[in-house]
Formats: sequence, structure tokens, C-alpha cells
Amino acid sequence: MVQITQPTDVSALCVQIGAIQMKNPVMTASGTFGYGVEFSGLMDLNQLGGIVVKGLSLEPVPGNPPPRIAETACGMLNAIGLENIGIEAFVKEKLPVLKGFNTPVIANIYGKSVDEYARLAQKIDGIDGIDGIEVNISCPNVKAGGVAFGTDPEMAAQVVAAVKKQTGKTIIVKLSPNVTSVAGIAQSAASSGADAVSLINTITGMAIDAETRSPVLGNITGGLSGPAIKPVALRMVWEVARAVDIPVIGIGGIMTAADALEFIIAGATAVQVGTATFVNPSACIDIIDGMADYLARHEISCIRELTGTLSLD
Amino acid sequence: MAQETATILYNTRISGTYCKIGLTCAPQYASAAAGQFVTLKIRGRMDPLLRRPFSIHRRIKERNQVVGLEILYRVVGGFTGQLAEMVKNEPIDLLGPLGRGFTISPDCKKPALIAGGIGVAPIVCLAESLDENGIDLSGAPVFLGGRTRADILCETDFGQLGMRRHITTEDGSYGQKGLVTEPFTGWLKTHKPDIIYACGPHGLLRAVSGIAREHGIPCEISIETVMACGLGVCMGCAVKTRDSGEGYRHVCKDGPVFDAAIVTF
Ligand SMILES: Cc1cc2nc3c(=O)[nH]c(=O)nc-3n(C[C@H](O)[C@H](O)[C@H](O)COP(=O)(O)OP(=O)(O)OC[C@H]3O[C@@H](n4cnc5c(N)ncnc54)[C@H](O)[C@@H]3O)c2cc1C
Ligand SMILES: Cc1cc2nc3c(=O)[nH]c(=O)nc-3n(C[C@H](O)[C@H](O)[C@H](O)COP(=O)(O)O)c2cc1C
Ligand code: FES
Repeated sequence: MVQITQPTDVSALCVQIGAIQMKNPVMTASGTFGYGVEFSGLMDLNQLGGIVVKGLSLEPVPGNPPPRIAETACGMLNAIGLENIGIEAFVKEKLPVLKGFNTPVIANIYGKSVDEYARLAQKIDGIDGIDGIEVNISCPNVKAGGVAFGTDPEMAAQVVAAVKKQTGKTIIVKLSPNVTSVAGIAQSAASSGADAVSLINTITGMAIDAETRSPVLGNITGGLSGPAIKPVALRMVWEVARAVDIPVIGIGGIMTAADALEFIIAGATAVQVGTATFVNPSACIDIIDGMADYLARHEISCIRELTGTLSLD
Repeated sequence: MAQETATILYNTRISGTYCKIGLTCAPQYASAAAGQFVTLKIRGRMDPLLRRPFSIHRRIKERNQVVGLEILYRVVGGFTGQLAEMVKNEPIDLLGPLGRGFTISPDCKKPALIAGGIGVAPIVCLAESLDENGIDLSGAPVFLGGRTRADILCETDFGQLGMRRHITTEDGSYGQKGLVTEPFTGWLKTHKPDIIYACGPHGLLRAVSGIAREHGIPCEISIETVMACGLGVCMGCAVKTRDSGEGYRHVCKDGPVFDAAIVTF
């Protein structure tokens, strides 16, 4: 008898991150999808697994002096400096539009002190329409002399615990790759109450113009993203997935469905797509379609079965 | 705004490093403003990675319907080099129209147009739009500047609209020797336009903005920055303006055309 497979079975792609049910494992990466609403004319936002919005702070932030972007081999450096409209304007102006779509919204947040993170979490806790919080711990802690929270397991734990205390919403902790042991930070986040970890944020880099002997970026250094960082991101996701029991969200240089699947095989439950959206605004949708095709082709009934199936023999 | 797979209608070298490419486009480009831009991407290429911005140079019309776009480009590096290799019927990823273009007001009947080098690309579109909007361009001035003769483009396009062309080259190989601002300031001694539109290198825009301010004439300029998204989401194209306070404006969304009075050089 011929077995009828259902390649477009909607449940095949669904995943769960904390309390958030997603119809597929593909989210937009923070800072590359604005506040989501900008894309409503270009694609059906209902098709996305989740929308992670631009990093939000308590107050609006003007960002770094230009130039803020430099293209590098198969990648780009950015030094935006977290320019954003602030949590209040986001909730007032952007969130009402996002609520009109049947897609989970995740607020990416950052602060300059543990207290700022806690206050952001407290504000978001009462807001209907924000399903989860992604805590960006890659920013410098002003009080601790500018050391990034995400580079020290103890500081990372403090931030996560402070956020956890303020909210019952799903907490994703976004990890920096600019550390010696990313698994150590991930474990620290997990034991402090994170529901999931996402990685990687950008890798610190720089570009120099030899003609003028000056840095290309106004900020001198910036964060590298795009296909150039994928091998580093894959290795880190693989290490972290083996070190923690909570879901891992893979990020870094994902351009195609094959790239996304590599992260899932390395141990990720879901993925985020960043720079690829600049190259092709509908990259996420193409990736979702490609993942569904792969499942059908390999007769896998559910993407969750693929997580961490890296074959080592 | 739409993303589409456009087909190349033609791609020809016009002089030196300058080329013109014709692309099919969605009908909505009929309402695109001069000064708006598109971004292009050759699918599958990882290097260069990011889309590249180009002004709408002309709208290709058949029986009064817009059926395509023409882009005038200069080969300067990786992307433009690859673009110049492409041939008729090949597909290319087109996104647009993007940004804010020139404003055309029925009150401004006496425009002066200024273009430096490749900056002429949106100025041709602007002249055609002014004409379509019933503004009489016969005898209206266009100042075209370039380093050398090869950098003076689109003279005939302006000629067909009856415009008076003032040409300068830095090496004197064509037209008057010197900078485009020289004949422009000379002309202003006996004429008063009610709006100045300009596009070109940074130095030209700064000089023209200064002249406009001195004479109290409204002036719109199109400026360039590096862009990652072109959609107003990455915040990469930030520029300081006189009205941006602590913050910045974003060239891809608030521009690329700005009121010269607010731009800080
Ligand atoms: C709104 C806007 C409209 C534009 N319209 C046009 C147009 O109609 N026709 C056209 O030919 N170009 C236009 N440009 C510039 C065009 O985008 C760049 O020339 C192109 O991105 C270069 O890509 P590349 O990969 O070939 O060069 P790259 O390899 O990226 O750069 C090579 C060299 O070119 C120069 N360059 C790169 N980008 C720019 C830039 N944005 N401005 C000036 N010099 C640059 C730099 O000196 C660089 O070192 C426009 C730019 C903007 C922002
Ligand atoms: C322009 C730009 C802005 C970004 N802004 C943020 C941000 O606000 N918060 C954050 O956590 N990550 C931010 N990121 C990092 C991305 O979310 C992502 O982790 C990184 O770019 C790697 O993924 P990619 O290679 O798919 O782009 C930004 C990245 C880029 C390129
Ligand atoms: S280029 Fe991304 S905001 Fe302008």
C-alpha cells in the first residue's frame, strides 16, 4: 500500500520555546527586522514562527555616529549602537499593529545595569501582545566599567535572575560569542531561570581603509554578521546544546533552509534569520518553505525529531 | 514597495565606466517619485553580499504605460562590475521604489537643476517628472559637471526637454573648465530660480546648499550613504541633520532627498 505523506502538514514544523507555541522554528533576528510592521507590505507576517523586534531600552537611544555599516567578505560589520525608539513608543506605536497578526512577538531588551533590565522586564510583564523577552546580554555594563554582562557567568546570572523575578513571560537569553566558554555562560543563564538561550550575537570585528589609514566605522569596531560567521555559530550552538537542557535557538549567517537545518541538526530547536533579510526581505519565508520540503523529502514527520541528530560515526 | 524578479531588457555601456540597464518592473513604479531608488541583488551571489541602491533614472514607457525602469550606473567595484557583465533576459532581484524623492510643487515654476557626474541619474528622472507635471522647462537651466568629458552624461535628454545646458569639466576637456558651481553662481547674478535641485558628490552638494542659502532659494539635494537594508529597519544609514536633535535621520527612509537647509556637511 502506498503511504500518503503530508509534506505540508502544518504541525510538522511547529516547535515550543518556553510557553510560546510557534508554527515553525523560524524567527526574525533582532535588529534586522525593525519593529516588524515595516515588513507587513512585503510579506505575510502570519507565516513567521516568531518576530523578534529591534533591541529595546527604557529610553529612546540615538545610536552611534556614522558610518555604521561596512561590508566585508561574505558578511557585514555594524555599529548601530542599539538605536531604538524605547519600550514605551514601541508599545504605543508598533505593538498594536503587530497584535493584528497571529505570530508571537518577542521583545529583545538591553540595559546598562541589572536594574535597567529588571525595570524593562517589569514593564513588559503587564503588556498583552508581547509573548516573550529576549535578553541581550552582549552590551556593556556601565556600572562594572563597561564589561559586557554576557562575558561573565556571574553577571549573566544576575541579569537573568533579575529579569525572571519580574516576569512570568518566556525568557530567552541571547549569548555573545565574544567569550572563551559560551557553554559556561549558557549554563549560568539556564540555572538562573532562562527558558531558552539564543546564539550567536555578532562577533566583534573591525575594518580599516588603508588609503586613509582610518577605521571604516564611526565606532571603530563593530559586530560581524552574515555567512562569514556561520561556522563559528554552528560550533557554538553545538557546544551549548550539549551543555544545557533548555531549548537552544541558533543564529548566525543563516541564508538558506540548508543553513537553518544545519543548526537544528547541531542541536537547535529553532533559528533566527538576520542579515539574510537585508539581502532578501522574504528570506525567512523561503527558509520555512525549504525546511518543509526537507522534512517531506526525508520523511520526517516533525522537525523536533531532527534536533541534535548530528551523526558522529 | 515590492520585491520582484525583474528581467533585464538591455544592458549597455554608454561611455567609459558608465552603463545603462533596463529592467522590467511592477506597474506601481508609474507613481514613483523622481529621486526614489531601488535596490538590486544578483541572486545566489555571496560576494558582495548586500543589495545595492540605485536611483530611478528613467521610467520606460510603452503607450503611456510604465513597463520598465532604466538605471544609469557607474562601474566602481564588486557589484557594479558584476552588473555590467549581465545580459538581456537574465533575472535580477529588484526591490522598490524606496525612500523619499524630490518634491514637485505647482508653485515652483522656475527650477534650476544641478548634477555632478553619476549624480545626473535621478536628475533626468526629475526633469521628465517636472515636464509631466506641466512645468515648462524650455530655457530652464541644467548645470552638468564632471571630472572630464566622459563624465558628462545625458546631455541630449535635457536637450529634448528644451533645457539650457551649462557644462563644466574639471580638466577643461569639454564645456567650461572648472567646477559646476562657477557658471551656476554666474547665472544667478541675472536669474532667480524658485527652487534648486541637486545631486552629485559631497563637495558639490555642500557648495550648492551654501549658494542656495545665501540667495534664499529653496533647495533639495539627494545624498548617499552606505545602506544595508534600504527599508528603514537596520538604522545603518544614519545622518545628522539640523532637525534631528540628539538623534539621526535615515537616508533610506527620510531621504535620500533632503531639504538642503537641514543637512549638516
Ligand atoms: C540612494 C542612492 C542612490 C544611488 N544611485 C546610484 C545611481 O543611480 N547610479 C550609480 O552608479 N550609483 C548610485 N549609487 C551608488 C551605488 O550604490 C554604489 O556605487 C554601489 O553600491 C557600489 O557598489 P560596488 O559593489 O560596485 O562597489 P563597492 O565594491 O562596494 O565599492 C567600490 C568603491 O566604490 C565607491 N562607493 C561604494 N559605494 C558608494 C556609494 N554609495 N557612493 C559613492 N561611492 C561609493 C567607494 O569608493 C568604494 O571604495 C547610489 C547610492 C545611493 C545610496
Ligand atoms: C544591523 C544589525 C543590528 C542588530 N541589532 C541587534 C539588537 O538590537 N539586539 C540584538 O540582540 N542583536 C542585534 N543584532 C544581532 C542579530 O540579531 C544576530 O544575532 C546577528 O546578526 C547574527 O545573525 P545573522 O548572521 O543572521 O545576521 C543586530 C545585527 C545587525 C546586522
Ligand atoms: S539602510 Fe537600513 S535603515 Fe536605512
